[in-house]
Amino acid sequence: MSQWAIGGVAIQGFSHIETNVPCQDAFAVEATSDRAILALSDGAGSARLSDLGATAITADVARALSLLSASDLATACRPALVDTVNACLDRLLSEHAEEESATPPLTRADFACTLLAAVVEPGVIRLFHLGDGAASVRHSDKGRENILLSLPENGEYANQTFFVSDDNWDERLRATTFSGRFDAVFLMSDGVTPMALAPGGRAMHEPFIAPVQGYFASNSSEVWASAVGNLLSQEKVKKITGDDKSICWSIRQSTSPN
Amino acid sequence: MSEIQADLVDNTSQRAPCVLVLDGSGSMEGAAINALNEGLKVLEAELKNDDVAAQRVQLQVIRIGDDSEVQVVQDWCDAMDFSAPVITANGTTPLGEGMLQALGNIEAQKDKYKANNIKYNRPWLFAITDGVPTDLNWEDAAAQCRDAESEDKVVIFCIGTADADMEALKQFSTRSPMLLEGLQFKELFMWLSQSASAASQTTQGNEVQLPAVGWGTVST
Repeated sequence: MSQWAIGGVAIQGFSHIETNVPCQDAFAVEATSDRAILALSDGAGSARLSDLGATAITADVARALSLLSASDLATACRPALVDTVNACLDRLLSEHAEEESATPPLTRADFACTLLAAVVEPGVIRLFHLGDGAASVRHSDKGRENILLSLPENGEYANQTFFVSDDNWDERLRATTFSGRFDAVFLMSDGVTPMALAPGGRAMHEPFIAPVQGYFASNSSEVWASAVGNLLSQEKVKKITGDDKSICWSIRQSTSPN
Repeated sequence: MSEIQADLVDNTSQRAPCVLVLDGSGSMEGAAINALNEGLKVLEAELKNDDVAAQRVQLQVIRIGDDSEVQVVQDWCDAMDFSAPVITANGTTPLGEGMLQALGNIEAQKDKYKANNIKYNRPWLFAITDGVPTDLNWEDAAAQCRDAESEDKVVIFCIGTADADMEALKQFSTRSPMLLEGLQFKELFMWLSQSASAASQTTQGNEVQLPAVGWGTVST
């Protein structure tokens, strides 16, 4: 049994519900005997098939990272991730070219999406981040404080960010390695960061994340996703953002009832 | 199943800056300036009535008129604090100077945002006039406006009434100017508030979906 309880939720934003646009956020999680893999992506609003891009890329990246040998993780994660994303985009173009033949020819930009990916081992997190969204880790000690591990990256304007379909996207891919005692890792899209990050955007907002973790500690992991989904679907969230929302997690098993 | 009792507040300080350059020249006197001022009250009410826009949209209002004067009649403020100024009608139409001041004020505000780690949307600039630019170098100013748009610094909308020089207005933006039908300033400012609200909530990779223009037509 894996030492990590993994899961997540991706929900359609209020604005997409009203305009009948599918949720363009996606995540994928995998757990092996020695690691947990989290991948999360937010499709570009204006890209025709960004929902498909986000779904396929997160699934492929999580799978590829789970298959790396333990001895290779320190050096192989980044090239494996980059190669997997590029191969996925090529495959998506090939698979969907015929379906979209009546419209302007598909390009990589039609699958544009951000990417967050984490390889979680005991005492080490290898994180890769392109675009906005954020990643956090909770220390096992230090008052169990949640630390913002990777910040969002935007262009000059708030609604601009960076996508895997951009030219030379891998040059903007940020890598962070965290070493220490931790028991919770979260990846989240920019539909969640307005509430999850503290004012100023450089720390986690404990009144948001701590109750989530408290709920996890008191309830079976089977109900975590639906509870988080209900939280993010509340009417008061509509006044904050109409964007799609996604968050995924890796929680050390000793902190959950199971 | 119990619910998660978590704090759900907007901790971002994102802003959507918007400048209005309004014609206060002598030809606006009477019904036109009254309608424009009533429209500004509509703008105030509509933005304050929108929870997200009230917090995010920031407004500055510039009046052009008198003896080639350009006045900031309402400096930058959050929409929730915006109080519609009263625009008077007298004098000339230094539209070029007004637009240049607006461009400069926008860049200065961006610097403040950056200094305070505040994210912002691409600024919008609305110019509303009933006449012909009277300042000598308005064409140079218009060229600078188009350059600013081409460099992605700002989005410019030009709106003219029936007597406005639409050919001149065409030069101030990369998009066609809009012709206000009659004195539908209230409808114009309703559209403006809805557009600003949409812009303030636009998410990454999205283009702003503007509401339909029911108060005028796009000049060709």
